[in-house]
Amino acid sequence: MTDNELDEILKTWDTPEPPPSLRGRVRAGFTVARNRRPALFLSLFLSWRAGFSAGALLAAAALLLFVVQKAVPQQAPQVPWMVNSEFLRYADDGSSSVEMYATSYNVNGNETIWSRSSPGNLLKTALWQAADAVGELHKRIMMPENLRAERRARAAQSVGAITGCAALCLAVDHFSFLRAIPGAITGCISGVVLGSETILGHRADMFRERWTEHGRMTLSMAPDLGCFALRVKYETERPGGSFRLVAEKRVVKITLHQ
Amino acid sequence: MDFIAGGEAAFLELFDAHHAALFRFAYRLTGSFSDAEDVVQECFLQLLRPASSYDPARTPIRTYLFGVVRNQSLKRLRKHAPASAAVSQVSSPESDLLRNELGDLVARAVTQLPETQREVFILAHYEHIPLAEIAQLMSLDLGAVKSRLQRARASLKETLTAAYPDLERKK
Repeated sequence: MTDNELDEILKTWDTPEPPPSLRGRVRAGFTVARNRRPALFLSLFLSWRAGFSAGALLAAAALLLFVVQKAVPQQAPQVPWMVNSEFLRYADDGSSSVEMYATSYNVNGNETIWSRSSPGNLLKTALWQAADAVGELHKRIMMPENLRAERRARAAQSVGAITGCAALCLAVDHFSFLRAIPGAITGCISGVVLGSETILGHRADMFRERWTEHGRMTLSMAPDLGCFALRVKYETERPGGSFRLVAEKRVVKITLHQ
Repeated sequence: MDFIAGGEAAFLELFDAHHAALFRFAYRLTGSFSDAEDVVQECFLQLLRPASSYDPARTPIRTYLFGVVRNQSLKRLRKHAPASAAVSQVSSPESDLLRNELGDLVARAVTQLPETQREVFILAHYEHIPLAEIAQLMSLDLGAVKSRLQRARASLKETLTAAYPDLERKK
């Protein structure tokens, strides 16, 4: 195939026109942004007041939830195994600190949080639990059924892993990867297996994915645990092309419920 | 830069000048019409936020907008399972059907390229963005952009050459 023939074939991939309604929506966004812009002193006042109110509300919610959870312990899900993980953050000098501890389990290839905590910080832990409870409530009650069905369908085609904290740890980052074709030598997800390692007695195949434009994520997934990600490493690219480890998820314990 | 102070007309002019190319880019990256629509909308609305990182002294507006669309599209792809190639659903005469079939084949071949090559290829081939601008947009050196583009074209040639005889027989 010549370059010209390739160019001719490539032309056949058409894209649809953007919908005319898009301009109207952006225009409406402009109007909203313009009308919302307050004077500087008002802005400072509003942000202080909003921040204070939100903080007070969150603290109250967290306290309430913490008390309720202590009084009425949740029932553990009936799952064959659960894992305890720690999520580390690495500084420029290579030193690390634990950002979050989590207990999670596997639901059809997708990691699901059971509980999580902040090391030595009860208030943070309570806030996170409150945020998780609100998120769960929103998913169960507020989210329309069609959206939930769409998410379920997506989840069925993918392998999902909790990879770290998001939004000041009020949420967790959950990445999904396209499940490998059944019988494929790649095993867990579509992609090239870089190698394998043994983590807590389980073989884990290593896959690498781009993370951001300057980073990459390496996942070690255990086929015998439903492709659960036992280790996730985030690295960012230095200007010279080498990579620096910035965050890591490590499974530290697997509890079998037999 | 304060786009709100610049006025609605100027902002819509900016939208009119760039939205079609940005939409095509987002669509080709995500494979989804609704995702592409959301990404482009978000890209323009982001300019209006007080925390917008756009600095005209550092980046031309087109480069910035393509960068935002790229990041937003990749974020969506990573949050969800990667979308399969956008497949046409147009019913039409036989010659158009063949074109659609070829288009689907091309879409799949491009979607299967490694992410780093796919972005460079779409920007260079379909949007005709100069390689130096792609290098700035992706924080790469020019050599890396050229090599990714060459690898993408070589890979597409290989994939499409393997698939093309089937389509030839269908003619």
